[in-house]
Formats: sequence, C-alpha cells, structure tokens
Amino acid sequence: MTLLELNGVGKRFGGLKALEDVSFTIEAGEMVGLMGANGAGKTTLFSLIAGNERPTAGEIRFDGHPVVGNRADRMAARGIARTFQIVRPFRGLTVRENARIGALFGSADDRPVAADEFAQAILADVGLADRADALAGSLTLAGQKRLEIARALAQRPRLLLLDEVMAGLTPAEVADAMAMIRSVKGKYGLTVLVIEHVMSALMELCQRIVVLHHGMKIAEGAPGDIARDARVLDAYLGVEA
Amino acid sequence: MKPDFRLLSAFFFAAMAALPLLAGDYYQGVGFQLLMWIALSQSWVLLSGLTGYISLGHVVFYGLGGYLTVLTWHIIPLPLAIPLSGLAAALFAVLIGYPVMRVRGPYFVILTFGLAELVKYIVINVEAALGRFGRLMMGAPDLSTLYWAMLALAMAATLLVVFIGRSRFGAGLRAIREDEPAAETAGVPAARYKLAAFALSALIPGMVGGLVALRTSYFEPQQIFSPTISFTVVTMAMIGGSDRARGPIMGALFLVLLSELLWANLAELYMIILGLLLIGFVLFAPTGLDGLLRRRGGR
Amino acid sequence: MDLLLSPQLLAAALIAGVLYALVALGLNLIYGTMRLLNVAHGELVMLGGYVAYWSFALLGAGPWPALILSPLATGLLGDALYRGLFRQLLANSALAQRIEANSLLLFFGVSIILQNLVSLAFTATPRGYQPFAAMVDLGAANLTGGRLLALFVAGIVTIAAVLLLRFNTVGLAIKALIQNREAASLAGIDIEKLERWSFVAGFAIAGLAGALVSMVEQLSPFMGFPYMIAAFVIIILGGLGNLTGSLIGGLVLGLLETYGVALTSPNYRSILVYGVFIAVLLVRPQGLLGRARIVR
Repeated sequence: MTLLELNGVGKRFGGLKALEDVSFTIEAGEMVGLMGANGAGKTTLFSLIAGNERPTAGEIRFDGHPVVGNRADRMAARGIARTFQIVRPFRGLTVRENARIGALFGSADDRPVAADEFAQAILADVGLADRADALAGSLTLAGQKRLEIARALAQRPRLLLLDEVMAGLTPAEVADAMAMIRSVKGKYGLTVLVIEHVMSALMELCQRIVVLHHGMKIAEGAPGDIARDARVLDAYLGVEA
Repeated sequence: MKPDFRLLSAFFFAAMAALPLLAGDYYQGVGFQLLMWIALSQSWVLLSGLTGYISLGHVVFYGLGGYLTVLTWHIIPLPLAIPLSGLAAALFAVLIGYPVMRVRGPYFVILTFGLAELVKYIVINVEAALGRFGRLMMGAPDLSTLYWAMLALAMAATLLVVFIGRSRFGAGLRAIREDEPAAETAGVPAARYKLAAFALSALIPGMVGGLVALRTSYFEPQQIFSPTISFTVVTMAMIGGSDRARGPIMGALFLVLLSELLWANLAELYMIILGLLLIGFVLFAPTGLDGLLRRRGGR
Repeated sequence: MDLLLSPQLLAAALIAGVLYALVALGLNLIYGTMRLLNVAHGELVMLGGYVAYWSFALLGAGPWPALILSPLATGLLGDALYRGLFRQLLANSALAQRIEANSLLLFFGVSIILQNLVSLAFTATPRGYQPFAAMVDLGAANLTGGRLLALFVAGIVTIAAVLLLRFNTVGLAIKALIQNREAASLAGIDIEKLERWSFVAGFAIAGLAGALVSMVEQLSPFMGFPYMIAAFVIIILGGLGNLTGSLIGGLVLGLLETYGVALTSPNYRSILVYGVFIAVLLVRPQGLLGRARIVR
C-alpha cells in the first residue's frame, strides 16, 4: 500500500531553487534512505512532507490524500513525525515532558492511551528511561538526538522522518542507534524515511535509497545498485565510471 | 521541610476571606488591591508566562472591561454587567488575537504595548466626543461587596492557572514557549492555542476592571488604561515566578507589602527599590521566587 | 490649506523628524546590534536634557558645553551599565536565550530608577530654558535659535553617523554583528569591544538628542516615555539594525505627526502614531523595511 507519494515536487526560496521535479513513492512498512551532498535539498524535502513548508510546485500525497496546504500540526495528526537535523528539544522541560508532548498531540488515531505511560514506554525504547526527570537541556547531544526520536515516536506516527540522527556519534553509538531504529520500527509498525551521511548505516538499514543532487533526484534503487550507479559516483566522487 | 503550596495557598485565601471580619476599612482596601493584583498577574501568566509571548499591554483588557461596566451602569444590573465586561474583553481578544499572535518576539512585546495605548486614546477621544471627561458613578456598591467579588476573581484566576497548567492545553502552551516550530511539528495546534490563551487571559481582567471602576466610583481613561498597570503585573509575575500559579501570589504579596512599608514615606524610594529588585531578580533569579524555592527544596 | 503648505509647519516637521531619527539611531545601535530592548532609552534623552539644562544654568557659556557634556554623561552611564549589568546578560547563555525579555526587564528597572532619582533630586516640576535670546528670521519661517541649532546638529550627526557606519570598517563590523554574532566573532571581530562601543555610542547619542530636545521643549522626569515609544516605532518600521531605515523612519514619523495633527487635531496624534504602527506590524510582522526571517 502506497503511504507516501511525491509527484514533481519543487521548492523555491526566492530565487533559490532548493528542489526540482522530485518524484518517488514509499510503501507502508519500508525503510527508505535519502542521500545526497550537503545542500542537495534533503532537509527541505522533509520540511515539505511534514508541513513545515509548502511546496511551490508538484503534489504530495499521504495515504492517498493530498498534503499541500496542511500545516505541521495537521500533518502530525495525520501520522507524520519528524526529527530536526539540528536538534530542537524543549530545553526547559524534562525529558519525560518532552516525550509527553509527542504523546499528547500526535496521531489522532489511538487516543485512549494514557500519555504519561506511553511516553515512559517510549523513553525505555530509546534508552532514556533513567534520565526521565532531567531537563532536556542538560542532556548530551547524543541524548538529545534520542529525545528527538522519542518525541517523534510518542506521536504514534505511521511515517517517521529521521534527519541525520547519527551525525556526531561514535561507531559504537551508531551501531546502537541502528539497532534501536530497527527495533522501534518493528515494534510500532512504522514506515521510515532516513536522511543519513553515515553511508555504512544507510546502506545497511535501508531497502531502498533515493539520491538527491542539487535539488533533483538522480537515482533510486537498492543500496548495492546505488553504490555502483554511475550518476551517483559522478555526483559524489567526480568519477566517470 | 518543603512547603506544601496547596495548603499555603488555601490558607492564604482563607485568611483573605477572614480579613473583612477582622480588620478595618483601610486594610480591607489593601486586601482588595492585593487580590486585584493577584487576579491580574495570574491571568497574565496564563498568556505570557505559559506561551512566552510577553505582553506589555495587559491593561487593555482591564480598561475595556471597566469601560463597559461604566457604560452599562444603571442600565444593566451589576451581577450581569461584570461577567459581561469579562466576556467583552475576551471577545476583543478573539477579534484581534489572530493577527496579533502572528507577531513574534520583541515585536509582539511592543505591539501589545502600542495596542493598549491605541485603545486608550480611542476611548479618550470617544469620551471627549460624547462630552465626557471622566465619569462619576453614583450609588456604587460598598467595599465589602466588591471585596468578596474580587476575592472570587482572584481565586478563579488562580484555579484557572492551576488547572490549565496541568492540562494538555497547558502542556501545549509550554511547548510553544520552548520552541514553537518544534511544538507544531509535534502536533501542537499553535495558532489555535495561542488565540485561546489570549482570549482566556482577557476574561478575568475584564471583570476586575469593572470592579475597580466601581470601587473608585470614578472612571477616567488615562487611569484605567495606564501602562503602569501592565508594567506592575509583569514585574509581579517576574519576581514571583511566571510558570505556575504560586508565582503571582508570591510576587503580588511581596510587592504590596513592600509598597505598604515604603509608599507612605517616599513613593520615589519605593519605585527605586522596585527597579533594583527587578534588576536583581532578572540577573540572579530569573525564575522568580518560585524558582528559588524550587532550587532549595525540590518541586 | 495655507497652514499645510507653510514653511513654518515644514520646519517643525523636519525638526521633530530629525530629532526622532537621532533618538532612533541610538536605539538601533543597542537594540539592532545586541537585541537589548532598551526601554530606558527615553530616560537617557531625559538625562541628556537635564545635563544640558544645568550646564546652561551653571556654566554661563550658552548651550554649547551641553553638546559635549550630555553625551559624555550618558555615555559614561552606558559604559557603567554595560560592564555592570549587560555584559553579564550577554555572556550567560541561559539568560541570553531570552535576551529580549530579560533585557527588557533590566532596562525597565533602570528606567524606573532613573525617573525616580531625577524626580527626587529635581522634583517633577517641568523646567525649560532658552538657549538663545533672539529668534532667527529665515525669510519664510521664524525659528528660535534653539530650534535652529537642534535642527542643524541633529541633522549633521544623523547623516554623519549613517555615512560613517556605511563606509567605515567599524560600520561593516557592526553590520556583521547584527547579522550573525557568532560568525562575526569567528571572522576575527572583537565582539565584546564592538558591543561595548555600540552600547556606549547608543547611550551617548540619546544624551545628545536630549540636549537638543531641551532647547526645544520643556523638561520633566517623565518626559522620556514618548521618545522611547517613537524610537521603537521607528526602528521597527525601518527594520531592526537598519540604520538608514531609522533615519528615514524618523523623518516619516516627524512628518506624519506634525502634518497629521495639523490636518486633524492634537487629540489624534497618538491614535495616528500607534494606529499606523500597529497596522504596519500586523500586515508585515517584520517591519516595513525589515527582512523576513526564515525559520527552518
């Protein structure tokens, strides 16, 4: 079942064309990677999908329904959650309260869940249960990244957008993060779209990868194919394969 | 030993209820003032404390409510006029709230101030056009009646902050304060919530304005729309703490006691000390007395 | 109609405008660069005015010493406040996050203290003086010497300041500071020094404006308020940190006020000013000449 559909999506900021004619689909249950050099438009694409910005061209459909014009909170209610590349925790609130916000305001589907209990469960899933009463601002960067994920998960999304959650992590931490992502995806039946620069992680986690370059999609396919794709190699390494 | 604030607050309001029975007119007057400031500061916290949108124009709701009460004096019975004044202020907030709350940060601060001043001058000119330069209200209820009404408003305002502070709505408002775009992304309907907070914060000040107009029996736009009222409210909330209901109670109590001690002698000295206190709190205790106590003895 | 076209009215509008522009310029150097909401700015004007009054009364050398003494006095005050209070605020990251709110309150405290100190020292009775005895006849308009001096000095200082900041390295550094504090620091600019001088300059300019105002209007401890409001209106309309914008904004406000009042009545002065201000902000939340900030 197609969960997310992008058709000819474009975004301009004044004279700057951040995205142009991007099209792809994501089926429910997939883990898809989004790859590209800095400035390729990946985070902008996330902003469009999650409702933080509006596309200037093209169409986005979530679960068959058009998305354009919906603000971020509407998209959250429909089942999309995202993390930010530069983490944005609610610093003055505790870890638990952060997760609780996601639980209280997330996907409108399952309401009877007691927000506190669910938030606590999510914190356990991401490994922050023991820091629940600490102020979010007091966590390390790695902790704050986990909190971002926790808050997003607490929304009970159907589609989770992860933006470079492994940036700045040690190899051991990367391995932990990968295990956690796989685990929560399975446990909560999520569909995940991942932006990542840590290539090894992206290749291992995802069944399919979409490659952006200068705002346009230049390739799409299985990790192995992408690694050998001429256009991708050219864009990344300047190599003519 | 950690102070139990629920008990202390209950005790405080009980004491205020007993005041008219124990003390004379002068202290009833002071008590009336104190309750007024508590009601105003609590409603300010509801908006600015929780959402972080600092308003310097809170007096506008108070003034509008007072004006409506004065306009309907002897036309509508008081038990109806006072709530109506609150509703009118809230309606005003709803009407202007959407465009106003789109404005962020420092612009919002100055906008709210400008708005209050604009309304003040409009009322002044309307009154002038009507040939009125101040209105006298004959036959207003005496202090005792007004005192109970103000006590009720102060308690209502406090309870409002307590319940909203614990609710889903309150959690959303605090998230907006911390990081509005992130809050929206997490699903908080920011625009709607801000408007609701704005309107709710107008309700009680509108009624307070009506009561105060009756108490002074005299309505004069420059007085009832005075920016000093907005500033005092902000100061009390900052000194007491602007995140929870206990803050304004502490802040108002502290400042009213201080002014009682000093005002008689030198009004200027009181104001200078107020200024110094404000500076001291901002630099060393930005979360107010509430924050200081929290650091000492846990939540 | 005659009144509207009279050079007298135009002169009044220009004087008001250029004084407003000067006050706004000072505020922009404090608010535009460091996001410090100086609500005591009006009190600085007031202080400058009182220093001018006393220097005129006690020194017997005419209005000239005031042109140095007033900015000196407020500048020194600015330096003391910067080192005592605001450097701490800027450096403390927890406080700096809510810098506008916190600085607002700090300055509010300063404003209350200044107003009441002056009131205690000199009472609240308004005072005034005439810096020059004679009126100057410019042919079309008649101006008191004081007004002419105010127009002249304010005009020169504002234009000089704007030009200086535009074509000078310091000006460039200030622009960098306004745009991105961290990046400016990384580019090698001594942030603390720049901020300190910007702060002091803002205070000094306000003091100078006060000296000029004292030649044109009466003084009282609570006179600063409308100037502070006008200054904020101007820099928000002209765009935060946009120094040319505050020059233009000041002139526009002066013209608007003077002609608006002449067209309607003095009662509508405030309604006009606040009304326009609110209308602009609601339609363009980033000010008339400001740039919209994209939040990612």
